[in-house]
Amino acid sequence: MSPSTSILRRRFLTFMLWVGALGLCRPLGTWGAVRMSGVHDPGASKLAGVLACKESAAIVGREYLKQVPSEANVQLLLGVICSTWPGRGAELLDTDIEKLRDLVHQQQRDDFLHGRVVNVRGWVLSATEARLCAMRAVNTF
Amino acid sequence: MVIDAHAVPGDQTIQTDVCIIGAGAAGITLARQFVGQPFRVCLLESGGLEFEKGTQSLYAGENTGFPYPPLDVARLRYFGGTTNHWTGWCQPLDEIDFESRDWIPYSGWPFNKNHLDPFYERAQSICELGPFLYDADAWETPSAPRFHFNGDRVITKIIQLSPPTRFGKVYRDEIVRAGNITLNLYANVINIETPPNGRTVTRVRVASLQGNRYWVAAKIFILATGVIENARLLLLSNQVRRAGLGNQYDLVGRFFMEHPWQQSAVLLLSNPYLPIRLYESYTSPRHENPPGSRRRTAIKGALVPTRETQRSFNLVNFRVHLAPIQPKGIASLQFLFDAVRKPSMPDDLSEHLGNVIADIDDVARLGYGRVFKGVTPVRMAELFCGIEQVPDPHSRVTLSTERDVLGQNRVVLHWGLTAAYKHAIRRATELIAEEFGRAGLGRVKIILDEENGPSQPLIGFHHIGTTRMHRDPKKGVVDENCRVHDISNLFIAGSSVFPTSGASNPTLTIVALSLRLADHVKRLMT
Repeated sequence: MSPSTSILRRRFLTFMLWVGALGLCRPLGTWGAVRMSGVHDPGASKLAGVLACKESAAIVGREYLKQVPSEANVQLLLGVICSTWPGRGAELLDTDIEKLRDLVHQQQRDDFLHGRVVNVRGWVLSATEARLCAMRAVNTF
Repeated sequence: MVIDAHAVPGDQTIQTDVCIIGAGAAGITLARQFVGQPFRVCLLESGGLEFEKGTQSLYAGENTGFPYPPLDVARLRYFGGTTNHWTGWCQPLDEIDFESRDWIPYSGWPFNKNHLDPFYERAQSICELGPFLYDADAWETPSAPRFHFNGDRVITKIIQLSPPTRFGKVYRDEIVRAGNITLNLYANVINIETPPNGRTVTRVRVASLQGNRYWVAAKIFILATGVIENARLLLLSNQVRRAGLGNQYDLVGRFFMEHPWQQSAVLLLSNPYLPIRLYESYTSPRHENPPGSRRRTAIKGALVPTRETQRSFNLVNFRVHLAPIQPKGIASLQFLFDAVRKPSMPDDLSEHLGNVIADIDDVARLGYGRVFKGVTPVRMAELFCGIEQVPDPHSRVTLSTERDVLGQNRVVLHWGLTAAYKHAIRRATELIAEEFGRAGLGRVKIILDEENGPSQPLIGFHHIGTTRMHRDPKKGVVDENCRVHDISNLFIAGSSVFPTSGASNPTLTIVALSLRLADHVKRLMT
């Protein structure tokens, strides 16, 4: 079979911008503190440090929250993301960013392994990364 | 020796030992195996040595099921058959393809892959391929590695690319020169004759388009005219048995299968400098073809589910291929390089320059990748998913009331592809997406739209089924030796005997099965 259709780069630039947040899976610079609906949760701010690009993450997050509006809550998202961690998130503030990144990466891998994936406008994302993006998006609601 | 059917005296009976009907990949492979044997072979080909419209039109028929291309363009009817325009992709079926799978009705072959492996190995050189190695670790190199997925859900299998071998050209001289083989061109078989008990074939009726008719009598007959024509000829031969030969259980023509495929996703790679050339057409330096030469076999990697994955998720088999998406600027840069070498300036120079400038970031990345990393960076690739079609008795070939110029009923193809194929392609693509994500290699955007998307998949032009193989005559037209049940001397070659299609291109398996049948016939004849 040979490809008969071609999808041009420009058509995907928009997608690439917000899916750039998926750079979660590679070493990334940190963002600034996350402002969330007036809820300045220091744990959430720190966790957002693993994200690569805040603009992209917010776009992905908004798309995700359109599907799951009930999760438009920072505390709820934080709780769900950290629910499987040994300290259920209590260790967030005392954990360095590299360690957090490892935790998130492991959780992403587990998500993909166990089918905890979400489809955001066609992109197959791990539930964890979609929620991280949603956490970033919440303050724009 | 070559005979033109137009020149054979009318109603003469040509006596031979083995009569092969059809000179495509299967028929030519069989004939070559019989060269120099102590028996005579008559090879009957409907067409000549080149394409001719009149002969080709004998393929015409009606489509009533899932939309399918016109039947007279799906195959080539002259010496060499459809190998005259095949693309040459070769890959054996997987072990699981031979197994009876409880989630796939009518699955299971009468033997396993190990049994067929020696014949696959012999088929390699016939298709001008490299060694019988299809695991990625036998071909990958540091500059062309496979994707390393976590776990064992998806692996890379290799497709070897035949030049592609045009059987009619590559093997013509060997067959023409063979002292024991007579090639009849323009010889259309229009009827298979049996005595009243219908248990042996005595002779076949041959007709040329110009009206000449004669007989060929033999001890053994092998039908190798392709999936649709094999079924058609059995159904047409209904003078003794009204339902046609081999059709006492209404199986002839049923279980027609194809390989539906379509672009299902786009892959965004995490690392654009990760070499993916193993998944493009790649000439690996690791194996010479033939050994001792400087020639190499072109290959192409495909992502396939493991046996465990198929069992766990009740999936059909599938293949996912990658096609890198290069920005316009890269293509324009290549165009401009080529243009510089020519004396004249292209008219669309400014457009190409514009593309290069617009995509200057990609152009720079290309330069960096080529100079410092030795790879052509790829950020995105299209993913194409091809699947195994589930066998379905309602997907079938029957006879039409319309007749061709030889007075034979044309065929009606009712391709019974159900909407389940869409679910299969989606599930396969989701699985690939999860594995790319899990390995951190990238993310996948699925572009299937089952409700609003095109209802028509692409097809592989791989005809499969209609005279399926099974030990039980109530479940198959031919037995495990490809002999038509209840007829002692009629055999069938080609993909019409496949009980299931797998997801691999079928030609290598057609050749392997033909070699196996040739060995069997040689044993019978000596």
